[in-house]
Amino acid sequence: MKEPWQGPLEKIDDYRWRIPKSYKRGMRVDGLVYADERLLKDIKLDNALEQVANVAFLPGIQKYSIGMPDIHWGYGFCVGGVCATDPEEGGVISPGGVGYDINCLDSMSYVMNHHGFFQKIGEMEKSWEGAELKCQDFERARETSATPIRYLKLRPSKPVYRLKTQGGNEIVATADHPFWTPDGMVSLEKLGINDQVALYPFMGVPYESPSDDVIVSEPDIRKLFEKLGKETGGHALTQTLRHLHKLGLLPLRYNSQQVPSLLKILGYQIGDGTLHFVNKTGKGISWFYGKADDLEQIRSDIQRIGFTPSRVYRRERFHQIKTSYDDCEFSTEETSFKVCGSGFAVLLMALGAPAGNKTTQNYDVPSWIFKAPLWQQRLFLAAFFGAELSKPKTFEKHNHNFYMPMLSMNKKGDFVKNGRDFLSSISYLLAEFGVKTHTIGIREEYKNKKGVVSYRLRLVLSGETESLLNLWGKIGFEYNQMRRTLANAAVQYLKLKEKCAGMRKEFVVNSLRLQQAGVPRADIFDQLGASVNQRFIERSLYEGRKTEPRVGQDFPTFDEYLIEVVVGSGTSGMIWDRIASIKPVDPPEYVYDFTVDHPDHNFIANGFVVSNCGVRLLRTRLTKEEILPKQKEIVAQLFRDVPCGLGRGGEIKFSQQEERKILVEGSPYVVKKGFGRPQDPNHTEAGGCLEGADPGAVSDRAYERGKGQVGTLGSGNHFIEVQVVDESYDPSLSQFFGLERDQVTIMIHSGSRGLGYQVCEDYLRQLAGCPDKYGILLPDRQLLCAPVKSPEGKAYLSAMRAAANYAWANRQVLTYLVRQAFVRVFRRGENDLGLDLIYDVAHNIAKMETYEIDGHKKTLCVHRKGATRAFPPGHPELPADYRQVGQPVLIPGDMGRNSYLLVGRQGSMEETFGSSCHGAGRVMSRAQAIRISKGRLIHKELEEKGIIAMARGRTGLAEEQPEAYKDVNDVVRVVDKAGISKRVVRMKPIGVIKG
Amino acid sequence: MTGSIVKAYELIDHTADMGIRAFGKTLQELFRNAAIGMFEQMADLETITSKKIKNIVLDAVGLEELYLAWHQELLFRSAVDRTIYNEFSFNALSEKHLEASLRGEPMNFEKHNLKKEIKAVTYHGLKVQKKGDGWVGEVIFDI
Repeated sequence: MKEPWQGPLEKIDDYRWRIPKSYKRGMRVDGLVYADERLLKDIKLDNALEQVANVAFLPGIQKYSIGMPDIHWGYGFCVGGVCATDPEEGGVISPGGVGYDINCLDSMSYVMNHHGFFQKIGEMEKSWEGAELKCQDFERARETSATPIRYLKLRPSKPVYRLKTQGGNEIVATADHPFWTPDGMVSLEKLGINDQVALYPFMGVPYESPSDDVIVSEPDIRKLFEKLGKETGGHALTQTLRHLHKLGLLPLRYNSQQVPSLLKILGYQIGDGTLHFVNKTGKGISWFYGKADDLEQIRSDIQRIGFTPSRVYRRERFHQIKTSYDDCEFSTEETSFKVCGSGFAVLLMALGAPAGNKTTQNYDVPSWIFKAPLWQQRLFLAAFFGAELSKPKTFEKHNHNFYMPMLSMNKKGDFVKNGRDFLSSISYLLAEFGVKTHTIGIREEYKNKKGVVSYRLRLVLSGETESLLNLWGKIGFEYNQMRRTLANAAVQYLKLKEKCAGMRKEFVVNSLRLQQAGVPRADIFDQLGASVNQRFIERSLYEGRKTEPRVGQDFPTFDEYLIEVVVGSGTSGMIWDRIASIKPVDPPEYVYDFTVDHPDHNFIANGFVVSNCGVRLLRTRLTKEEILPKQKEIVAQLFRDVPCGLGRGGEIKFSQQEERKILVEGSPYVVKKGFGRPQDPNHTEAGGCLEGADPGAVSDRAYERGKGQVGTLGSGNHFIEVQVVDESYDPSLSQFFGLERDQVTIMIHSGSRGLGYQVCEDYLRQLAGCPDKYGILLPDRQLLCAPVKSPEGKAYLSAMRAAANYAWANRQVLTYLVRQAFVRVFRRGENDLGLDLIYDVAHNIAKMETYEIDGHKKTLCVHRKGATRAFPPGHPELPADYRQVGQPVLIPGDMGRNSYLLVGRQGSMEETFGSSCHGAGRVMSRAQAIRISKGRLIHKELEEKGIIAMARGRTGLAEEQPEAYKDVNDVVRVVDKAGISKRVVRMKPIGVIKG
Repeated sequence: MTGSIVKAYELIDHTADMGIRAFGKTLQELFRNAAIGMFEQMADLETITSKKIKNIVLDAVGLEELYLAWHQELLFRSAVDRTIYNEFSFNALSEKHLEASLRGEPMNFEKHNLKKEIKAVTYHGLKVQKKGDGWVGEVIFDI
């Protein structure tokens, strides 16, 4: 028995359940599942609910990720899932301090250097050449550095504005200065209040010229060799000295160009590196441990200085540890690289790196660092923190407050005092940046066999906002992209939080003032706006606050904030912020610029496997009584006339040119060719043709695979059923559709065949890199997607529309074949038999549709993966004759139970983006279905129930047997009771053909 | 492969669709067994008389991608040529490159006892792993 899904599911009412977005970090909206208790039991048995939660990660998703009562496990998306995404969502963005694009800025604008210091752009006129600026690689969504190729100083020709973001960052720029937004680069003049712009919240420290004092000289190296016991007269020393001289590292001065990199390497080495000499006096070897991406940055800095690091090694390490609770075994992948050579090792030692076991020797923060300018000290600390300092993290329970950052180290026995000294030195350095520290904690960890005690020392850093802002905003992290991004987000979060708390504080003051002036409580609330709740006012007015007001419960938690604001895949360091104001300023004398490039951005999701299948329903004028005598005959005729199953091509041939027209024009094209009645497309969703289909977006392989398949049924769950109406739920609606009890209907379920499968396969491959490329955070690699507005997203939409048009044309030609078969068997005229198309709906499609969200009309990309459109009465997209009653919704069941005709209801517009369920939904795998049918004759069992079934494939009937599906009656009852569609009639099959 | 004591493949249960877990002492055997497993879902392979020959060459960025591409190519060829393939020999097979000859017979409903159509090979659960002294590969199909 499978373990049922364990995630949180809150009951809203008998038919609605919520998966709160707090379930998984990254969910942007809640999940909303339509089901009753009984269906839920089955639903929980596969992973469909997890997939509903996963879909809630998609950028731009609106309101909720929806699961219909027939959901079951799919690929990425569950089958029976609906969601809508807004291509425009996120509006514009911010750049504030982002150093990548600095066109036409005020002279006071700071430019962020790769080494974490800033300079005013106006002061760089003489020093810009060779400057290494922080910049963003949008393609890879990560931070990198670049050297400007051009520095411009211009008289402003356009108006100049001051732009402020909600987090308080500001910048002065000309109207045409571009900012990085979710829509790509957008010029300032096109930005408005509340638009998003990208920020790089790290502030760094000001630049200060380093002195030319010597840090390491040749005698230092000689002395070190002596101390190490290496022979000083011979080859090794000479070689090492020659090497270091050649690289320009001797003497090394504060203003040597290698110092910034060396400071970082040294900081990281003292944290997560080791250094030793083979057999104590032999060749020096330095190892660095960390994440592969981060190690690459260290390697590149080492190469820059002139040494050759090894490649990054990966190895799996098995650990066995004893804790006070348990013995654990686990394995981790360790990534590391080394640098072989005494030159590098000796240089690091001369700079103050400890060689050998760090826990059993004395070492301190190298004294020369205390004399370095602040920005150089920062490089050492930030790299050391990249290895050792805990990451920004908020309390589990109270997610608005950060844990106090912590720095730990281990020391053995007598060396514990030295550990304390080292941490004190770090404290001392931190004080210069305005970062406060608490006392150093010491804890006995364990005693080894020789009785030597190990201690764990911990330096706890202050959790006060100002101190944290200085730590993360001025020092930050080097060689640790993940922590750097977290630190950037934390800085912006703290600023927003402070601003919010500040506003509430102001409110307290103002409310008391108004109260003293005799203003009634209700009016105070009105006057001061609704940014706080009643309870807050009561506490402020009557209870006398003991503490400063804090942010309210509705202020986002840090985890929620992270998901919203991190730009890219998490290592770019960029954060989205919203524009608070844009105000004109007097133009300065000069404005300045460098250069930049830009791709575009914004999200649509469409990671689902499509074959664009759908269902259509025909009404005959035949009754059950008339058809029963010919029951076997009509099924056999349909089986003969409709190509179905593996390897059967269509009898009706279309030229390649005609097939291209089908892709563009859909079912109206084949009707024009004689395969239907002129009114058929009118009773087809979207008129049987989606605009914007591009046959050029369909690959040659897809054409080749779909060739000759128009008018073929396919296999799997596709079918044609002859049915009789066995229940009417609404006499007037039944009458409207001309359906009464015992009347015969025909249902056709098929899709876009080989062409659709190939389109899907092609685009899954093409979209594979998109989540990374566009920085979309996804919990499942199957849930591929690309921004709607991206070239990949657009191409996919055009190809999918073409496949949908092909599917409508296919069902139209199948309709033609069905009509012909009926005429043959009954020897009556087509019109005399009725055979009118009631409706055709797709249930595997993404479409642009307009909805009202929070009072605004939005054009959304609605994904229906195994869900049916269900527009209510009065919807403008409905054909005139159905506008009064609502759109017909067709729900096929399994072949032994029932199928339904429903109509859309208003609830679908309000809750489900005009969608309803699409069928029964499987509960059993095909293999299992075959197993339980061993020794049974499914077609005999069906015949006993009055159903004649014929299938091409030997296992088709077994796989599709009724037991393999949920009871469609339960599914349909839920959508009816939930008010998203309304039952009109129920049909029971009497004949089935399958592939 | 008949007469081999070692299992060539087994079916993976999946609510909506179906998957195949194939085994092989070598990569060639793995790829061959996987292909046989897939085509056995479509027809009774004993009924196939190998006539038609098709040569294919595939490149991919890695072994799993190659394994996926192999299945996709076989499905595509089978659909386009309307042929059931049952013999597979390899002129070259490495982690990223494959050259193979396929032999099979055009589909004939009366003769081959055709079963079901496989719509697509999905990325879901795609796996190729070395286990002990052999290989195991898994794919899930969209049926």
